[in-house]
Parts: sequence; C-alpha cells; structure tokens
Amino acid sequence: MTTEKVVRLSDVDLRLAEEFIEDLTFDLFACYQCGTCTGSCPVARFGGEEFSPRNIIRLIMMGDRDAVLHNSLIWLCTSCYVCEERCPQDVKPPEIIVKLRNIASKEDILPDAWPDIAANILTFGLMNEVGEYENKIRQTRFKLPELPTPDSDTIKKLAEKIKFDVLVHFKEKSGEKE
Amino acid sequence: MKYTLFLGCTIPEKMNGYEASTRVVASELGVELIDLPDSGCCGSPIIRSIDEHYYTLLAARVLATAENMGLDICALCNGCVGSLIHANDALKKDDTLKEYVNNVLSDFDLEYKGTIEVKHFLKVLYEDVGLARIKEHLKIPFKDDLKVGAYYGCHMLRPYEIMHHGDPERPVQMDEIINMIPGISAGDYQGKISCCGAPVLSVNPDVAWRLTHRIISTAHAADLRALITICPFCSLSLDLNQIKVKELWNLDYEIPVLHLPQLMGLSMGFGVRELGLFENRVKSAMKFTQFLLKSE
Ligand code: SF4
Ligand code: SF4
Repeated sequence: MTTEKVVRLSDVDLRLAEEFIEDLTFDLFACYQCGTCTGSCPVARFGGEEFSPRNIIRLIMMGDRDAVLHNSLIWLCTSCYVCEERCPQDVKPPEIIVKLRNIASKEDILPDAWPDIAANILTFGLMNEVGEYENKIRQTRFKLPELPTPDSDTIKKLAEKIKFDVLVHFKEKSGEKE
Repeated sequence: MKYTLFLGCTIPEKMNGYEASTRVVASELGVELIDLPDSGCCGSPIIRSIDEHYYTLLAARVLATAENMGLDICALCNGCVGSLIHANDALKKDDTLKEYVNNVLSDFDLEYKGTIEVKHFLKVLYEDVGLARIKEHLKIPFKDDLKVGAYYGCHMLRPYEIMHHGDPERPVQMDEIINMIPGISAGDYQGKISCCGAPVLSVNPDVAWRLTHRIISTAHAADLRALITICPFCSLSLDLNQIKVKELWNLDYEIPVLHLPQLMGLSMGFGVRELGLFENRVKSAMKFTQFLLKSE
C-alpha cells in the first residue's frame, strides 16, 4: 500500500501557480513528475534535508500555498541548475523557486540573514564594506590598486525608487546599527 | 584584448590573492583589464531571490556603466558572471523589461542598450587568448606528474542555454588549460560538477558543509593533490570551509585549493607574494612551489 496521496483532478488548485505563471518563459504544466530533477539535485542527494524540486512543483499544482511558502523548502535550492539542464520537459525548477521566493519575501518570509545582507548592499554598495582598512591590506600585502568607490548613493536611491528598501526593512535595520 | 574588470563584493574583501594572480597572469598574456570606475553590487543571486526587479536594476546599472566605456566585462566570480549574464540575456530578449529598467535608470543618467558581453576570466583565457598562446607562457615545469582537480562551479556552466560555455555535464576548458602546464594533469573525480554549497551557507550551513564534504572527499578518493577554482564562493567553500568539514567528519587529509591563475602563475615564474598564495587557507597551497622544478 502506498502512502503518497493520489492526486485527483479535483485536487488541482491553480491559484498559487497563477500568481507567477505569466512571468515564466516555459510551461510549468509540462512537468510530468518524472523526478529527474530530484534525482540530480545535490541538495536532495547529499544535503541531508527533505528537499525535492519535483515535490515543490507537485505542491504548486495542488495549490498548497502553505506547504510551499511557509517552511524551509524553497530556501534550500542552491540554484546550481543541474535539474534545469536535465529536465526532459524543459521545465526550470530554479526559476520557479526564484518566483516563489519573490512571493514569500512580499509576505515577510526570508532567511534570517538576508535582510542584513540587503542592508549592507544599500549602505556600502557591496555585500561587505571595502573601506580604508581593506584597501590598506590590498595595497600593502597584495600590491593591489585601491578599489574604485562603489556608487552606494545610486544603489540606495534605486532601491528607494521601487521600495525595495521597505521590503527588506532597511530603515529599521540601519536605525538599529547607528 | 581589452576588457573592463568587474570584481564584485567578495573578491576585493576576501580573495585578494585571486585578484592579484589574475592581474599578473592577464598582463603576462597581453590581456588588458581596466577597472570599472565604480565597483557596486552585480545584482546578486540573493537579491534576485528577494526581488527580481531590484536585481535587474542593479545588474543593468553595472552593464550600462561598462557600455559607456565601450568594453566587454571580464568578471572573476561565478555569482557575478551568472547575475550579469542572466540580466543581460533577459534584457536583450524582453523589450518590456528593458523599457522598465531604462525608465528607472534614466533618473540616474544611465541607459542600458545591450551592446556588450559579459565573460568569465576562464572564458577570456580559453576563447580569446587561446590554448596555443597560453602554452607559450607556461614554462616552468612541475616535478612529477601532479594530478589536480578542476572545479568549475555551477554558474560558470549552467544553464548552458544562457552561459554558452562548453558541456555543462563534462566541462573541459579548465582541464585543457591545466594540462598545458608541464608536469601537471587534470584528473576526474565524482564531485567535479556537484555544487559547492556556498549559496545556502547563509540559509542552512549544515547543508552547505555536506555539499562541500562531497567534493573534498571525492577529490581525495581520486588521489588529487589540489583543487583548482575560478570563483571566490567555490574557494570559500572548498578552502576556508574545508577546515570546518574536516572537523565535522573527522577527516585527516587536507587538499590545497588554488585559484586557477595562481597555478598558472607559478608555471609562468611568478612568486608566492605576487600570486597572493599566502592568503589561501589550507596552508599546503604555499608548499606548491616545492613541486616546481626550478624554484624562484
Ligand atoms: S521538473 Fe522536469 S525533471 Fe522535474 S519532475 Fe517535472 S518533468 Fe521531471
Ligand atoms: S537548481 Fe536547486 S532544485 Fe535544481 S538541482 Fe540545483 S539545488 Fe536542486
């Protein structure tokens, strides 16, 4: 006896898929659940956690929004693109996962470390500060030229223009730092 | 051969040896690298996951700056290369996206036109400089046949549809360059195209370490004397995190990890300092000079 629930047509719920399907450059419904993706996925094979691109697509088709967005599933993909390369139906699981993450971030679901990474980019123009100290090491130890100063001002203003700063709570973050 | 050099975030902060060795090897081979006048973020896979629009704007900003210089971009980080090429490709194919981006960028006196290409340094070496010319400069032999493993990293190769850089399952470019170095050969190992884990380090480090372990252990099983990387994140996983992985899995071996230009540079006659080899975390990387027939 199998424990996996049989999916009936009446179980199919497209509401989650409809949130992003128009932005895809391929046909999500071409997926016939062969599992080649999961069989090739390094996270599924060696990562030691329950993770399966095939199952993410199955959950999307069943419209199980909670199971897709409200657990750690979608954050474990490394975007290594092996599954995309091997999918016989030209489905692109990592592209689907990016869309799902974009939907999650609008609902304030993000890995803990990411808003800080984003805040750094808005502050320094780079993921990490390359300031006086780093430039000194570059010059004295490695004879490297000084790093051209990033245009952090434009980078921050671009964020403000499309409200990316609000999305990652930049104000609160940078306030905390001061 | 002239490109604008885009360094990204991680190389100038953590991987000075990669940058230093790239600069000396490029200049030896007659590749001119002009620094991009401002060094900001490439768009980043993390930002793309949070908000694709902001990611595209950041990448387009970098592309537009390089377009103003009239030069193709040469980048050293697989993450940057992936980010910039994905955005360049999407913007070239999608006029609505391009219009959106230019609408926002116009406030900053920037315009994305779609006139340049983005290339990883490996691609510059393999396609633009060419194996024959590279071979002429790799003069100093290593002592006995040293077998090392080329580690390409994911975003250099996949998706092929966008990267157009050799067979994504059986890549050969770096292997062929390594095989030009007298006394060194590139060997296969099971983890060769497996992900290094770096992208999930900030999400779930245990998963990242397990992926790193897979590569290190299969390289060891294949008797490789070193792993050769072309990406700061792969290097971070395999070199810096090897210490963590050794501890977790109680491993007694250590595999030096060199950036490709460091290995090439040794055979070109550059020294430990010029190649920044003292920065590599697994310290036996420094001892690689001992294998040279004619040490500096
Ligand atoms: S995405 Fe492709 S590889 Fe994965 S289950 Fe569907 S058809 Fe198979
Ligand atoms: S891209 Fe993501 S889902 Fe696909 S194989 Fe890689 S880690 Fe797995």
